[in-house]
Amino acid sequence: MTEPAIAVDAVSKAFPLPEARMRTVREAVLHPWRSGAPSRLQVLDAISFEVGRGETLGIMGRNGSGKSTLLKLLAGIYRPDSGRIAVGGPVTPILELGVGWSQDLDAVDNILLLGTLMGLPLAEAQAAIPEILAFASLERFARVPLKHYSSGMAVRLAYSVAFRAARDILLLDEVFAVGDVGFRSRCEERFRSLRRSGRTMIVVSHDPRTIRDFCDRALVIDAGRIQREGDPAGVVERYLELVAQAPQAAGASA
Amino acid sequence: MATDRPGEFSPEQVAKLEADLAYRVREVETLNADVAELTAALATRAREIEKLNADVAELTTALAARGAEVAELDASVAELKRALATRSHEVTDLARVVDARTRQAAELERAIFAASPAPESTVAPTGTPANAAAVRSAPTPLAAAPRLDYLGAAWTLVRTDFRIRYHGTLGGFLWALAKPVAMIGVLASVFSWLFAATPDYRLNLLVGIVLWDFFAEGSRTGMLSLLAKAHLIGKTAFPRWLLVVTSLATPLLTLAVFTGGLLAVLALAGRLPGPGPLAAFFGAQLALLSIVLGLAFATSVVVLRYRDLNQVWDVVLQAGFFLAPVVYPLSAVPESLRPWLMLWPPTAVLEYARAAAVGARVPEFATAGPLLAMVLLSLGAGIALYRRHAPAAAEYL
Repeated sequence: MTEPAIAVDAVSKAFPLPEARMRTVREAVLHPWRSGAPSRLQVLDAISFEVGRGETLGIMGRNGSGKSTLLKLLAGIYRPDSGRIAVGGPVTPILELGVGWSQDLDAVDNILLLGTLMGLPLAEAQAAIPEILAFASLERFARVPLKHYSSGMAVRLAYSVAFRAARDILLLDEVFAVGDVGFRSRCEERFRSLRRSGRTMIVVSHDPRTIRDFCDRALVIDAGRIQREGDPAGVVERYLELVAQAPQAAGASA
Repeated sequence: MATDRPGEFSPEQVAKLEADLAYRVREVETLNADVAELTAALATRAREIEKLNADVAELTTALAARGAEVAELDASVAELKRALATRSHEVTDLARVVDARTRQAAELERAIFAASPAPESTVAPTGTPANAAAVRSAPTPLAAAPRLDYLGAAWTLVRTDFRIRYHGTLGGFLWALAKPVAMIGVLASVFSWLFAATPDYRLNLLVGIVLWDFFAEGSRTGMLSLLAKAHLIGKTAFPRWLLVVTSLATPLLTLAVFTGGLLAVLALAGRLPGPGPLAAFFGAQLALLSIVLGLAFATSVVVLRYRDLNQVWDVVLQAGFFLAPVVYPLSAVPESLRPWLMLWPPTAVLEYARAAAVGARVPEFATAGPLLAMVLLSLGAGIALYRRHAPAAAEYL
């Protein structure tokens, strides 16, 4: 067995709670003695797992259980407080897709911006514009600034760019939860073909069908720890148990 | 009938009248029957009309449904076309995999051939299969995983900034130049009267405002460079310093345009400095750029923690405009205060640049020394602060 595509070793991550953090120069000057010994929220607590090359791993968990934080750590957007993450190849994260466009720019400019930052060479990004617009069925709105897009349109565009820029390792957050039926089936098609071509994937989803149908293996996170890891069906079961246990506790967003 | 009397009817008359009455009654009955018949017929007709109306309505809906079906079919045709495009992309993808696999196979073959002629000397007998297994399960180099296209990404970022700030038009850019131009006009007319005795006051003012404008604009946009692109930082990992560096492109473009204008003014006045002083002038600009870049690196991460830093900086800039000798000559300040004023970086840059561009001489090292120290301090501290805090940038957004 060669080294895994992703190895996560005892990774922890906590965030200072926003109200405990000194946020302005004014406060820092007015209360220099009030040191911020902030209360921290432990989001991930010594998590370890591995993903083999070409494997698809599903991750489940209630809202606020740390799934998205985990993906951002894997993508290199966040740094772990402790522990080690080894990633054996370039990563394409597909996260936070509804938000985060340059609202005043049109689709073409946004494709170029996001595409190049996701690792597409500029020339390739330019050549791929028609294909990306077609995949999102947004050809008619190519020159419309993103602020006039519906949220569904914006998400479709983001998927199209990310799927086109996909590199060795893909991180997908709620991948099939958006768009109309046609778009979703196109996404599923693309997902399957990427899987066939040997990419390593991590899929975060609340949808049992997605986890059962698309993943080789899965794990469920709760309270910052892995509650169960193994075959998708068992993980889905555990997840549904967790959801049933404390439906009222699902407060924070994912 | 002569016997007739009024009020009296003969029996014949009565009989006739009775017969007449009976006839009339029958007639009325017939008419009634006719009316009934006609009413019934009318009702039937009405029902028929209703039925026809219903038929028409049904046909209309059917027509609409067909129209919808046609539209749906059109949509699915479009869908299939797109699917075809996706498939062709997949085919390219798979072709790449096949290509990579073929290359691996060839390499493997070569490795085996290279190993087998001398099994006892270099490769242990068990080495070859193990090696082969390793090669087989080695990561497939998909899409050749290129490094980030730095130039392409930088160009896209600069283009984005330009589009957002100036609506992507030359007109928008020209409007942005209007503010410093107006400032030069006003200050030149007001203060040259005050400093009438100072030689070359207007030229010095021009140099001062051009450089000050870059300092103010550059430090403002540099500070907000990460914050303004927060949406990109949360989405994917890429070197964030690209955002800081490229944010200075639009202020730099303004500086270039004004420098061109300044040189034109000097040339018209027959005062274009020689190559030595000109190089010194550009050296001063480079120093200013480095100082602003260092400031941008430092403040871009600090503002993430202290969100009101940009308001604080606006106040500093307001005061700094008068702290630096932009509108007044440094000679107007008492000798003892001058070294203190030199600690404010724009002052040092301005004095050096003016000596070169307006004084047409290469300033002595005594002025260049502090400037160089400021450049090194700003870049060093800025980059150090940035390196320390930038990796956590996403967590503060």
